[in-house]
Amino acid sequence: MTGTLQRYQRLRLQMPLLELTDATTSDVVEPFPAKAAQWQRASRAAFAAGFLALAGALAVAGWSVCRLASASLQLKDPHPIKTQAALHRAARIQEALQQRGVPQALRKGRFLTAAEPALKTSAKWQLQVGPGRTVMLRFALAPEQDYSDVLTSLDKGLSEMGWQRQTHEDLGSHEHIIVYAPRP
Amino acid sequence: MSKLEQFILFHLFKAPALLLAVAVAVGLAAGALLHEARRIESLVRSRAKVDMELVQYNSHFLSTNSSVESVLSGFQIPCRILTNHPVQLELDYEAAEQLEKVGLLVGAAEFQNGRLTVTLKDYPTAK
Repeated sequence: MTGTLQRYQRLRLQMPLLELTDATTSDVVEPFPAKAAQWQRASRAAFAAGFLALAGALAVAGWSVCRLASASLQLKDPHPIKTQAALHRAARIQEALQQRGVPQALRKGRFLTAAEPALKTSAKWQLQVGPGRTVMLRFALAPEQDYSDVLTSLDKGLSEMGWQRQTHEDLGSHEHIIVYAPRP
Repeated sequence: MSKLEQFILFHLFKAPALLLAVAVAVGLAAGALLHEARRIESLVRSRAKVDMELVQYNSHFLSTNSSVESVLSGFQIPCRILTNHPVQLELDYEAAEQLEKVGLLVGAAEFQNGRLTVTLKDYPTAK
């Protein structure tokens, strides 16, 4: 009896669970729980569920790491805005400038930029904004230069800013005067 | 519940419980990473919508004490000031384009003998 008790005590401390559930009640003093087999099945099911949950969580974590790495890479692009605070500041400035109508005013006023391809080919030219809402361009071309090319280039550049040719005057000696006005 | 039952239950469910705890921790970490990734993606998307040229070159219009001279000096536009009222400058074509980029609009310009002079429009005042 003493030997059996000692064996039971040792079993309680050391016996692996599977062996414990397989043990017969004759080996132990305390009766083996009747629900042990049911608990073991529940344990296996819980283990499988835990394993699946861990696999799922690891997959989501891996995907998140990839997404974060890709986003961080995009953030490293050369751009003055790197933080949320910088973005908010830039957005506030942009909104204030738009409220003052700066973009709209500039869109229709960059004549030298718009006429660059044409004016850079001319050795002598004049640009006059006004009177009223007109822009006058007077330029001289070299004899070998094709006037229509220059005119097309000017029309295209100024048209992108919302201006259209109003009048054209040929002064002779390869000199021309063109007046542009805002497109209605 | 007897001590034996507690013993059996503890050893039966310790591994699944541990697995579930680790899964929950990994899930929470993944959630935090995803949140950060979404925040950065949103920042990248939003900054694409900001007109940086407008912000960088034209924000001097919001300053109350800005002037043509301060803009020319601030953007280091290479030019020679001929008169102050109206402001007339001598410069090259690239510098003239830079003037327009920073919002200084040209009222008149003349190019002759390789020399470009421009007369600026008045510096706009705040509305």
